[in-house]
Amino acid sequence: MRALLLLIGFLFVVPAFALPEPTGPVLLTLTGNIANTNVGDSAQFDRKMLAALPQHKLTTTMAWVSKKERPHDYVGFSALDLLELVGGTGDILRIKALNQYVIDVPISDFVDYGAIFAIKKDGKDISIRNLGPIMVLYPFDDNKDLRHEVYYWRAIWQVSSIKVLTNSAQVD
Amino acid sequence: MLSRLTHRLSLPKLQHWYIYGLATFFISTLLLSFGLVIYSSDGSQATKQRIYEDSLWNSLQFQLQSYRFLNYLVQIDENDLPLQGAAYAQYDLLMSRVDLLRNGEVGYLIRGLTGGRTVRLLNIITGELELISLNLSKIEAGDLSYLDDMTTRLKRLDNQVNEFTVLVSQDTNKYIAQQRRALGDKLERVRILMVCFLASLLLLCLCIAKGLSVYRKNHKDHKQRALEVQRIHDEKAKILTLVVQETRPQIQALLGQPGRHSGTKKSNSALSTNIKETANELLHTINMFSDLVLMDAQKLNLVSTTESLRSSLDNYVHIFAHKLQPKGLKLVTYVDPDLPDWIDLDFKRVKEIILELLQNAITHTSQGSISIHLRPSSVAPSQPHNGINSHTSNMLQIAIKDTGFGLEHALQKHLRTSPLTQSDQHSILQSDIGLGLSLCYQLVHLMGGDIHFSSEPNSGTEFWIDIPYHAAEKQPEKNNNFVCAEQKRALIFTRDEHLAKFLGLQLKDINIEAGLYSEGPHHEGEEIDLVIITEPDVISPETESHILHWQNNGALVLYDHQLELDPEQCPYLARAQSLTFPLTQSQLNIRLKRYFNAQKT
Repeated sequence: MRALLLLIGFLFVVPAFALPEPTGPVLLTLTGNIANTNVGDSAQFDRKMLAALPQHKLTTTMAWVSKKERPHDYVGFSALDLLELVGGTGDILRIKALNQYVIDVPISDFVDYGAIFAIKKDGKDISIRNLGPIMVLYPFDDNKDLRHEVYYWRAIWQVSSIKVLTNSAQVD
Repeated sequence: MLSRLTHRLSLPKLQHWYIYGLATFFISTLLLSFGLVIYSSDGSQATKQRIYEDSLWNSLQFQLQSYRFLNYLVQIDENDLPLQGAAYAQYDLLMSRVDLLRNGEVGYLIRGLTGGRTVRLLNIITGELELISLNLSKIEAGDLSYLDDMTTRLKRLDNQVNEFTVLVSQDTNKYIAQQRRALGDKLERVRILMVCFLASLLLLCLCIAKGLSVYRKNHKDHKQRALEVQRIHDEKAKILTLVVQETRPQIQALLGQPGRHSGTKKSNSALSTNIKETANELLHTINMFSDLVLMDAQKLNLVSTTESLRSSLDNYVHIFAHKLQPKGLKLVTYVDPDLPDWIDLDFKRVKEIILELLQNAITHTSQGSISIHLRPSSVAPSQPHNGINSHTSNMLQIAIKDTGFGLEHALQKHLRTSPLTQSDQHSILQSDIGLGLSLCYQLVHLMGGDIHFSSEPNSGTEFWIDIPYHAAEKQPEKNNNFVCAEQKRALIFTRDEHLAKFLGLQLKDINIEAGLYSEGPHHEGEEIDLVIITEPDVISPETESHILHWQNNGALVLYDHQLELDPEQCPYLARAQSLTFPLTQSQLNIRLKRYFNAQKT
């Protein structure tokens, strides 16, 4: 009986220790309401770890950058998978870019609209100069409701860190 | 005529200004809507440019990023080595802003809205940053001796970066202010347009209010005039009824007067007949006028009665016997056995229609025959009309055909084009088509039926009427009509194929197969039971001997009673019987029944 309880407890506890440490350059750092961390209070990810998450494909244009731009194929992970991995709980992701720009994105956007964190563009890694390495993208071409300034502002480039919050009023 | 006047009065009288007002409203609404669409569309475009193509944000981001890059380079020391691509990352971060300022919508905005100096500055900055990047690989490799040179060059670039940001900021603000002013102007125009739109709506409301007032006034006038018209109708009907009441007894008295004139008996009798006929016609004409006026006043009510169709038809045709004789015309009737005998119909009006059409046929036929054929109609019953056929499910067709010289071309044209002959018109009398046909058309339409005709010169005319009827619930159980037990054969001596056809139809119902005599030895060996002669000149001496032979074998010979035959020249005449026209089915049936039954006994 004691062995069984130990096994059940182990199954619940293991995820908290399952997140490995990054071996390459860190691309993304998660903080806030997360249960699984790998460096201090944060969960840090290198490209390999991000690529290991379930990948989703999305083809769209970034019309607000250039109207003449042709559609590109973007591949990346969903916030839902990322949060599941880090045991994140909350409604808002406070996303910060490399240039320190910050925007709050509701987690529901990843459920309702199928938004992704893109890490590949046309099959290649996205460089910082090309607004990478991570960018939030919505299927703008598929859903005309998304062609609105609210979602254009949420489509943040050069993502460097995410803080998982219960709501936007939560203090950093 | 009064009915047409009444119909015309029902339309509201529109004033000219009212129509002009409505037209103005529609045109102004159209123009205003067009203007609103244009201004709102332009306004939305201006807002989009303000929000999404804001170059100011990107130029400030570029300035900030250039300071961060400089700050990063200044702070690098030996302890930070190896840099592991961090210097490249900082440089790419800066250059990503430069790319945004040069390309895409923001670049387009900067090139289009700012002066040439801004573009030149951006080119200089880009070139210098590209040159600085050449030393980055050495720093990444751990050689920090190039750092001073790089920071010095970046600091020298600071003035250009500042000037670029200030220029973009100024030009962008100018552009935004211009756009806002344009947007404000357009909003003001939209406001003016909306005021005009409201004014137009007000105008429309005024027009509607005035129109309603005019309509109400016209409606009131119309009601009053309709009452006046009805009063005139009533008055007219009363006067005519009075005329009929006053004249009828006198005419009837004239009709009942025995011949008391001096002179010979024959001339007295002829004069008396002539007077009676004229009096009858006068009475008939007065009745027709009376009916037409009652119809116009919508006071003529149809009264359905249940009567025998065949008996009624027999009675109607005998009224015209005296009119057929002078011309030697032969009238035959045939009622299709598929029709029920007892039906519900306004027989009084049907009689009027039949007699008028018969009168028309007699007028247009100098010699030959006339037929009246009653048969089921293939026309579907129309909607309930005047309440007379609300439970009707059948249509009766009455066809009256003659072998006359046909209707005059002008009369045909009038019948086809006159509004009187159209069922939806209310004209009561048209002199072009005559009183009798006017009454016919009016009565048929009143009964919910329709009337058509066809006419060919020297071939004859046919009128056919489709009227609704309802079969009586109780029909006579026993049919007393005589039918030969074994089929017999008849031969008709006439050139009138129309007459022969109808005699054939009548005989067929008695189980007698009729054939038309044709010259030659075609009937030599035939056994004939009935011979009908209307034109004896087609009979050759040889045929005469055949007739005698058939007569000796029991055949009945019937001849037109109007023929003046010499018994010496026609040996068959001694045992022949005369046949009078009009000839109805029942007459022929009784005659043949009597003969063939007597023959049996």
